[in-house]
Amino acid sequence: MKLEITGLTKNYGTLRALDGFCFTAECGVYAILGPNGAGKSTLINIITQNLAADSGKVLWDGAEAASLGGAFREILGYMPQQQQMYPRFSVERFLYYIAALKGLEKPEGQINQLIELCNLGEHRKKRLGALSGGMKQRVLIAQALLGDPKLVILDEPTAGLDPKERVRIRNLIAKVGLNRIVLIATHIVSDVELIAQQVLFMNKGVLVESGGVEELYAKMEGLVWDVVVRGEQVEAMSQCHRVVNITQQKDGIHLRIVSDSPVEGGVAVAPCLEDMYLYLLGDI
Amino acid sequence: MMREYIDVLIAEWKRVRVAFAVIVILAVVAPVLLILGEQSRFDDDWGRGGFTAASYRAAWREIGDDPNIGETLQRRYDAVSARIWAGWGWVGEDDDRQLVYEEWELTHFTGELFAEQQLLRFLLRQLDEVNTYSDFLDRVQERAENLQAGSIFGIEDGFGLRNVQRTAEDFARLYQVTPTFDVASGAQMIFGGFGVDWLGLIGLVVFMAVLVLSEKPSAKLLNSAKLGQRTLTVAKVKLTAFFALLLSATLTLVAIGTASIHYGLGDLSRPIQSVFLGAPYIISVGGTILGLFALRFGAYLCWGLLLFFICRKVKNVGSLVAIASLFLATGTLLHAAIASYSYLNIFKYVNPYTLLSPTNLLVSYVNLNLFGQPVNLLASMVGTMAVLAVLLAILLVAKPVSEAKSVKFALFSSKSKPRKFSTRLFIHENWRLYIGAGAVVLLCGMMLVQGARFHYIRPRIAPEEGEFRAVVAYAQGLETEERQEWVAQELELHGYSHSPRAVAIRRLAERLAYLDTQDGGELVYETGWLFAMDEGENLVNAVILAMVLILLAIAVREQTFVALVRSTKHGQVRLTRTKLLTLFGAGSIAYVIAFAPTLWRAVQLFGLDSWSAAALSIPEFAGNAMPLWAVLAVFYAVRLVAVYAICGLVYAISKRGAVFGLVVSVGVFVLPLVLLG
Repeated sequence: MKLEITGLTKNYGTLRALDGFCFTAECGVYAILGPNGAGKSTLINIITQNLAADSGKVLWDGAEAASLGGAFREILGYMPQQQQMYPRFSVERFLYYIAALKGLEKPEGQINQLIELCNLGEHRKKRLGALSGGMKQRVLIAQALLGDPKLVILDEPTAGLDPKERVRIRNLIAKVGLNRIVLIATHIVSDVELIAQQVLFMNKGVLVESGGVEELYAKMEGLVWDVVVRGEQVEAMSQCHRVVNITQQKDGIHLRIVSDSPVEGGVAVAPCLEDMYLYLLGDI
Repeated sequence: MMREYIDVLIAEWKRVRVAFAVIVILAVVAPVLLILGEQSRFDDDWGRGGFTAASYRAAWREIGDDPNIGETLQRRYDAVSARIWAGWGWVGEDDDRQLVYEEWELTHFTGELFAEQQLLRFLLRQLDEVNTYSDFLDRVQERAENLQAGSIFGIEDGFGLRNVQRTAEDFARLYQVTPTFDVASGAQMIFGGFGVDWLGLIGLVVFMAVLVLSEKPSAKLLNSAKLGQRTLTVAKVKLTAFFALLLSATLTLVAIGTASIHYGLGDLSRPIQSVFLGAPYIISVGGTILGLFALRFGAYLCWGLLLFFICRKVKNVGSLVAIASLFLATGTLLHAAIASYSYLNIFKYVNPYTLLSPTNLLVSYVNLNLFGQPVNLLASMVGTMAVLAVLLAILLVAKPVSEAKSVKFALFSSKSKPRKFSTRLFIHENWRLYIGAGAVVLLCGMMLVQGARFHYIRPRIAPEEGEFRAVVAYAQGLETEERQEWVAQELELHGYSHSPRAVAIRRLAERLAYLDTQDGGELVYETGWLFAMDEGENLVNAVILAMVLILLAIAVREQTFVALVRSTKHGQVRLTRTKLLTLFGAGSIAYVIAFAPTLWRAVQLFGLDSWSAAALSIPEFAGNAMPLWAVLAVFYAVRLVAVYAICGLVYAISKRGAVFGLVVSVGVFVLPLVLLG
């Protein structure tokens, strides 16, 4: 089970959305992080065969996905960003419809299991049009996992979910990732920090940085500082440094700063993934 | 307290007053619908466009005040007919009858000889009906006497006999009525425009959606307010009544205005029998129009309150329309299925459908069978409307809305057991189209429209046509020589008369002359075949069909989560194939609904005889040696192929979005048909 992406390039007119993107994934959870316009959606659309690349290849176990066609899509489970679904379909009818699209013969066992797994038991007869955003999100996750796909692509899977649901879905994704390749595109860094085996930072169609979470933390070691300042100093510090967080505490105002060089009066602290995101991609 | 009621009423009025704009829109649409419905009023018996409303108006303007109008019309008719016959070489150019007028005068009203003849014949027929009104009443009495003497009615003392007696009694009173000859088409237009009341229903649905449904999300809040329940409902009921009043007045005035401009109304104080021979009440034309307004108001009020009641039970406009359509469809079905004299005829006439046809109540005579007793339909309907309106108003006010009690129209309870669905894409796509996207409602609506057109718009069959069918049938049974001899005798006998028999014989002679020039042709009564394949008759069907196909194709195409679907195994080629198959299936159903009434009418009215005869037997198919059934099959097969082509094209066009698909498709497929019409 191996997904290889080699030299993917895609242009929209004069805009280069993907620029020679390369990446290899094996079993596990892979998080793709990047701001809007980084090329995440274009990458996902090419992998899910909704879009053709100008150059480059998507390989599945060494075979080109485009030539595999239906056979590649058979091992694919895709959850797009939240959107309108057929509003008059009930949850279970919708899952049977997707099962039909996936060519599953007897999906009832899987459907019942996924309905329970995604906490949709009480809502299985409800029309999709009557569901809340979070419930729709769960339906989309359930359909992505239908057919036991080897490659699962989740686009903003936790958007619109309450904290409890986010934890539940996060754990589900972690379990799913044990014997599959799971690609997650998201803005919510904290969701993938705990479960991603590898994190890919994308910007302007290019892979800026990638690696395991611990590996990335190591790279950030000594770059994150905590400085205690007075109120009137905050503005001046913000002008000079990349401040990623401001909190008021008893001893003064704490600024969390990402900086290549030591900050005067600052104490080096343990980095998190959000620091890296902002360090690599963010202009505060 | 009264002040509070008034305040709530004013507040409600301010909230929904924008919905009254729908009346303005309907007032603009109604004249178009009325005039469209008049397109075939003056068509001749072969469906050819005859004279126009402008000619009709011009004729009345010029000769309407002539004290000897009958003589004038007859003299003009004779002159025009003689001129036409002269053109065919049947009389001399110097025939005295045509010399009465100058050449230009012969086509004075219409600019064309045949149209002029048609116009004059139309007016003469109307004059004849008015002049022989007492004969009509005599025939009613005579028929009643005959029926009473007949075995069925003579033996049974049931509804049939009582109805006949009641009819005779009611019509006996009409001997005192003296109809006059005046412009009739204007009044006929007012009472014939059944589509106007359907527009009224649309207006009511829009209004009730704004008045009641739009407020549903705030129901809890409103119910918790001091005056939030009963007072608010009373205000809404009053506004419903006001809307119904305004709507009925507007639509009636618009119909009057349109008819007045289009044809003229004539003397409104003349008896209604001057316009509708069979009208059973002693009342003037103007009085009947006032009566129509009152009935329309009653009908709209009942429908409005009924919709109000439905709004209480549903959550959205779709459900409101679906349930209202169900009521209407049930009423239409009962109206169509139950015979006029059945002991169940109360269900035929007293139902939601009849409420939308108030125009018929005043000008036609019907008795309901109420436990064997004949009861006047008009009186019954007025009583029913009054009781229904009061009952619904009381029910609405007595039981103010409670959101908790709102019915959710879900087929299954959310707590029921897991249900197993099919994994066949075709079944899912069909469910999505027919149930999910509401194609079943669309097709039922189309069926209703076609049924209503079939029911109301009947081609007039002239006596000449009936005679022609009879002479063809007779001539078909004769040997060739015998036939020619008989036709020659008939021609000689009837000469240049314009009696139906003479016209039919001349048409037969022309046909036989044509058949002499065709090898393999035989004498066929062709009207049914031509009617079944008539472009004009099928044009309206084609417009309706094209519109439905466009909506179906867009509904099938609709795919709001295309990226997800396309990433699945069968989400590309097989899904497209399945969608197209589903669409072709629905298109085929729409095709049958569109054309079956025309085909059925052709069989029912004219017959499709001589199936195996060569098509060249009919002059319109000269040179075509295929059998008639094959020509008909090819005609309808080509149309079916066109249906599939339209489905495919609209499906392709709507890839760029439903609105884009709708606009472009209507522009490409519907607009040219409408312009052609």
